[in-house]
Amino acid sequence: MRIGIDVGGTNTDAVLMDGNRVVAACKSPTTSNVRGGIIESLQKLLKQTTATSDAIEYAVIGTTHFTNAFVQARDLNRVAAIRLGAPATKALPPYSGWPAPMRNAIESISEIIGGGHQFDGREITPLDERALREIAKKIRAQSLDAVAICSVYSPTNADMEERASEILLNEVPDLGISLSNRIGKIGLMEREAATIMNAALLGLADHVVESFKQAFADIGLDIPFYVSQNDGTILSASAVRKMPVLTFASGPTNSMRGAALLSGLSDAIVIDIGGTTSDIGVIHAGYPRESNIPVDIGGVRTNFRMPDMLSVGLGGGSLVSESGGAVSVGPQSVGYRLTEQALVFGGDTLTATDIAVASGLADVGDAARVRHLDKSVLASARESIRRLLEDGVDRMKSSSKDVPVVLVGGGSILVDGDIAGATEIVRLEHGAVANAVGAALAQVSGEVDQIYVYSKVGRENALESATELAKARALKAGADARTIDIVDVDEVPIDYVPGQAVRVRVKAAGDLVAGGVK
Amino acid sequence: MKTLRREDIEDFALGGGLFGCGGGGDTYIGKLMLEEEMKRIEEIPLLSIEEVPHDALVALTAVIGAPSVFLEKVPNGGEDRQVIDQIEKECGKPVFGILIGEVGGLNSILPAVTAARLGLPLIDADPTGRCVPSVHATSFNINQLDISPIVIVDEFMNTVTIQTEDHLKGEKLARSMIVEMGGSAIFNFCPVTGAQLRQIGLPGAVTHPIQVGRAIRQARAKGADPFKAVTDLLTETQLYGWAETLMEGKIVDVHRRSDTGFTVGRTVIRSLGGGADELVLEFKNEHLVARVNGEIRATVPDLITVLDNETGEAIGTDRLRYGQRVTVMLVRAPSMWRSERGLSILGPREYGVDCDYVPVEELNGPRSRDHRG
Repeated sequence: MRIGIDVGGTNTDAVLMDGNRVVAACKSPTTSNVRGGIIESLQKLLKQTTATSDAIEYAVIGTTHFTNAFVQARDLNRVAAIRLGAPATKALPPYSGWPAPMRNAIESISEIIGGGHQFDGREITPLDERALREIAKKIRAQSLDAVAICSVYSPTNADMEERASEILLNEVPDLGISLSNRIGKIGLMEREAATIMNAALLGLADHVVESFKQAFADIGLDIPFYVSQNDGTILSASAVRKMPVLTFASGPTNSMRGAALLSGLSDAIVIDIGGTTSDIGVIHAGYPRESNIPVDIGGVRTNFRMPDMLSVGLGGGSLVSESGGAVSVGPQSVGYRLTEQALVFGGDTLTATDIAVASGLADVGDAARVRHLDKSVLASARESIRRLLEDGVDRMKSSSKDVPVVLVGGGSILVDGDIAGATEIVRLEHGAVANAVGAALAQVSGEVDQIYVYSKVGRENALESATELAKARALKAGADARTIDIVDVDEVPIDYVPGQAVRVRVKAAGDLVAGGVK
Repeated sequence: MKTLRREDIEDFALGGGLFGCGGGGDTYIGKLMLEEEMKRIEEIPLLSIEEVPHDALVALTAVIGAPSVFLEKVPNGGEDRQVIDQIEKECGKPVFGILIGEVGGLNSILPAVTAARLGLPLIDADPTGRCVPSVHATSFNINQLDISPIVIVDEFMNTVTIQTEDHLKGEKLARSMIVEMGGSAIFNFCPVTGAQLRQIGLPGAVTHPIQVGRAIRQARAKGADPFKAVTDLLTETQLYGWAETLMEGKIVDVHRRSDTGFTVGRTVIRSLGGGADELVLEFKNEHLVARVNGEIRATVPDLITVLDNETGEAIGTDRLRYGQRVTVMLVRAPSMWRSERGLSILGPREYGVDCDYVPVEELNGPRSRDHRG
């Protein structure tokens, strides 16, 4: 059995899973003390089950700690940013486009030195090792703890970043080092920003991982734990210490993955209907479809893998208004005041929840308080809700083919009957703790993002080599070889250059092998 | 004197997308570079064609190569100065101002960076009036000006000067050089005098995008129809004179493949609001032809652009996706593209579309037929 814990801004959810089945689940308020919060929810969870602790294999934690720390610019290291790529890339130094408060909290040494690769694998220049040693001296003199190293085209060739790291560690043994090839995709400025963010979080990562470890020790639960990352896979405790930034935005991914796993569907649309909005995402081969729109975190543009989500202004608290015979629902909402302001809860605001109760779709609050509502108003409000969801589903579908729709979240009661475009509608019993379920069932993955020149190597060879490399990386990360699957293949031709250069991205993932992540 | 101000950058980039016709590349790095340059200065002087002295030399700067490489291998930042230095050497006189390479996309922003960096005025004109797929598709070529010298500079300041009379040959030579230079470089071609500029320059390459961007932003803020604001605005311009929304719809299919370095494909859009109309767009980096229910409604060189219904932003052909709600806009191409010589360069048959060119306003009638769902 496995434990999944989701530490959110308000609530900490925990689940105990046996395979894809929820054995126990609980919610408790998130505390400012990391260790205390984990201990409390683990104790609460274990009380609900007769399972002994030796039946539990491991735990996976999803956390917003690192995102919040960065956005609030607290507990961050100062970072030496080193880019390998000169003379290319000097037009935009590191931190270009960053908001001043973030920059001021992190920036110290910032240099662009010789190194880097061209798109076709040639070196731009050899690595400037002398310059690196000079920088090492400055790092020592300023007593910096963390370095971010970003080399041009390192996602296709990581050699220079690895070598640079070796040299710096030789000169400054305790230095925390972030290498961009482990963190991001092609797109220099975004990848570099993520690498700098990561370096800035290294100190906090040590502290948080230590607190988690303490929490498990304190309640005598001797199991390994992992932390979930934003692509629906997990990081070992030691990997989080090195790459805390990969935990950014794991929440939405966990929620989507959890919904998919609970429903047993690998291809589906997931609608999470809350109080104010419905978040609609797409699960493909068991993983959320990734957004190709850049993601801003704390005002810094990054190219993190984020699930592609559409937010529609419809939730349980959405205001229902009528004018000239037309009934509209949302996007305004009473939000968390639903339980005071909705008619069924004794308030005086007509909300979507009131429509659901009056229509007999749900049994919450006092149904007598909405009995007076006009049948035709109810019908057109339900129609309006259905249209909002149908429109959202249609926007998110990958093709015109109908797909199953999975409903999670408290607002699921709003949905009555069919949704056009859906082959079926699946409602989940444990939808409220989908995040923690997604965390518990996260897999390990390996990824390749590389440019191949098809006219030289041939498309089939290129795809085969990328696929093998992705599988090898998943295996190295701790995946069970028998369960490794290719979950995504993406080919993007590089425009305006002859020779059929194509950027190939392949992702492989598998279940965690017994004995855990290396 | 007119200027391009720091606060115009957003509108400039937003409105420029419309002239990209689906191509033009990601403007992110260009915008960052311009913002960095404009931390030092408030504004860049902006001259009309008439304000350029007859004997003054003007030159453009542009990026040549793969937009995706440009996002990883950012320039050195000294390439454009080297390009201009080399042009001055070749032509034997100083460069007076910087011409926009092509309106819309990355190559409308980089010349502004160069102007800011070198302290030169920016000229509110370009040789294309829209984004084009190759170096030979310009008013320089239509007017048979000498394309030479073509100057290409990489991040090492390696400088290649190409002398050729033939614009298409120039395109091919330059393109083959780019692979050796690492997929992306900064270049100039066909420097012209103020007198020549009067003959070949298309006015408004800076002011049109800013006006369009502002119209979209202001209409959205007021809750008005941004697309009507834009078509009204462009119809009033001397250069374009006709613009119309072809359809508001939903993308129901996108096919994309790579063909000798270009992104080639087609998009199917179905009208919203119950109409049965189906719009098919074919593209090769830029949009080539628009057909509604099999009937041609626009071809190159007229401008075909796909805009996001919500934001008014142009969506590049590499980012089109099933389910997007879009408005397809047609804009009459500048007259020079409709000449026999213009059509021999940017006409439908040049891009494998098997039809004669018919002007977009004839295919769609005056601004009355309304096909918005």
